[in-house]
Amino acid sequence: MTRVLVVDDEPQIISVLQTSLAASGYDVQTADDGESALYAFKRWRPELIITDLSMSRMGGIALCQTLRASSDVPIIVLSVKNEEATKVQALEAGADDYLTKPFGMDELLARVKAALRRAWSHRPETKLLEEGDFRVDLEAHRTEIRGKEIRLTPKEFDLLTVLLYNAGKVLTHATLLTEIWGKTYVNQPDAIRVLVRQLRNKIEPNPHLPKYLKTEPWIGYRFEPGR
Amino acid sequence: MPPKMTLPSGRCLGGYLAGVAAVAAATLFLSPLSFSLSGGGVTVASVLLLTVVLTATTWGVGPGVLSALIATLCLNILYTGAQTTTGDQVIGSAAFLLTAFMVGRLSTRARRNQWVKDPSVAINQASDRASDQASELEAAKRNEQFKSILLDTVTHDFRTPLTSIKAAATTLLKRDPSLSPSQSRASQKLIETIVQQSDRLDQFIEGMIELAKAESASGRSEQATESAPLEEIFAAALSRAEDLLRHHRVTVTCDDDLYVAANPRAIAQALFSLLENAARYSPPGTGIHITASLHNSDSIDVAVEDEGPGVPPDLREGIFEKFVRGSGPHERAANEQGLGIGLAIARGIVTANRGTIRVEDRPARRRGARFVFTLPAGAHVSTLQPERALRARA
Repeated sequence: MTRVLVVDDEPQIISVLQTSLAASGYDVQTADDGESALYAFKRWRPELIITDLSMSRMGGIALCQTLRASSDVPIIVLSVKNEEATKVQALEAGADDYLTKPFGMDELLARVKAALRRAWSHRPETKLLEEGDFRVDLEAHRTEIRGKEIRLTPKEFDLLTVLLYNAGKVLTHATLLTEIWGKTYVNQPDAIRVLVRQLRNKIEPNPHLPKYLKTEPWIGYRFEPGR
Repeated sequence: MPPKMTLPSGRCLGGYLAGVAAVAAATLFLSPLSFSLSGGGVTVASVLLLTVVLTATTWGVGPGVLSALIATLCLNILYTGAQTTTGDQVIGSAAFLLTAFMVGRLSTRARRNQWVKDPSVAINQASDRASDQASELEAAKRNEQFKSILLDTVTHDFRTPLTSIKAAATTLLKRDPSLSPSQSRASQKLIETIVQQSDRLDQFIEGMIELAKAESASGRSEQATESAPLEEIFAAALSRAEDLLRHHRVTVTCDDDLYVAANPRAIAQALFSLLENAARYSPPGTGIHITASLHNSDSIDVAVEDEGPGVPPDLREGIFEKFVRGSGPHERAANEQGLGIGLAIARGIVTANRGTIRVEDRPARRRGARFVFTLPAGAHVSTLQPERALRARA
């Protein structure tokens, strides 16, 4: 059974999540703040961590930072709406994904599965990227969607590659800017917006209601490669 | 000036009596409506709920819960002529009690914050007397802080129980092989109701918070105006409305590079309210069309068009008031779904962001309503441009 550690200071939420995750076949332990989560992590080595952001002794962000110093364990952050700045901080501190309270269990289970899949599949040393509807030849710079070739500019190609490597994961504006233009341009979210629009025009059937390259409002983007 | 609070001590018994009296008064006031309940059920429930909320706000949890109990009794006994099921009554009663409890706790906590944590009450009173400009500014600032603490508390205290409710209900949706098929269908339907209604409550809380924030921001002189890309506002509103818009054909027409000088989260909420309204008052299968365009060089029009019955000219001003809803045959069914507060939220937000909102006929004599808001255009903030020329490599 996959070991999942749930961290939250609300006993009601802890108990619901524990029951639901256990019913879906996960081995669950819980902690009620960051410090006890760290202790449980060392002792029990969970394969995934789900954590709240605001807790009294060591919050979610500090927990992400501390864990990342020594581990790649996937972390999913739970937070309430209107906390975008905190969510971005958490993602930049190493969280893999976030979910806004209140959420449906199906949503959480899907995110858990996706995060585990990403963690288990190590990035292959391959020249060919295949995800869902997309097939990208990294050496020849060829891109196909459902077998149909599309032509991308070098920057569009870079963006699509980063997105495919991180399929299903939220990428903040800052992460994408750094990946594509380098550290100097971190404060230029408009640049990424324009580039995203260009790429959408080429890959999306309806660029205004995107199916692959989704906007995570005020935070960044998430790529769903289809199937 | 900061609100002057009085400590709730010594008013306990009075609070309980006042709660009972308030519900009794509301019931008496509503009793002429009782025979026409099938149309007025929502009105009766709303007024009783309002009474409960006022009681809980003024006198705290105990009197609030007592008045909620009496209100549900009044609703279930006096007005049980309509086609309500036991399930409806249980859910209704639970909603009343939960509301009373949370509102009571909130207002008690808000008072405690003012009194225990904040020694500024005494200072404020002193500053009232001294009333020089500096201390007035200071007082206004503290008032803002108080409001923002209250909003954070609302967000947290309402969403934490909602999170447990929704996570628990969605877990139950999938399982229970021990039930017979018909039992299972019935329980699934009830659980779906819990999920839908907690979503609705969440959307409603979101709307109230954004409205309160927008109104408190518009009162500040130093209001910072962001320049926000409209496409992100569209994405935010559309992803929130995804479930509501499932049965409609949605089209989006938005010029590239439009920016508004307004709070993007609040405007996304206003747009969401218009989408919710359009989905509710137009039949499934019809289109909902969202457009954005430059109105003139310094303002931008955002419009939501539906293919429903439209809004008659004499209702067009009043429709933005709180609790005003349409009264045609189609609207009555739709009214059961809402509180008539979405358009009031949209107008409050748009006005607070120095914009205007109106409803008109769709152009070219097409059937349906067109809700439009106009906002000041924002400045472009970008300096770095990605390659414009399409230097595509084969």
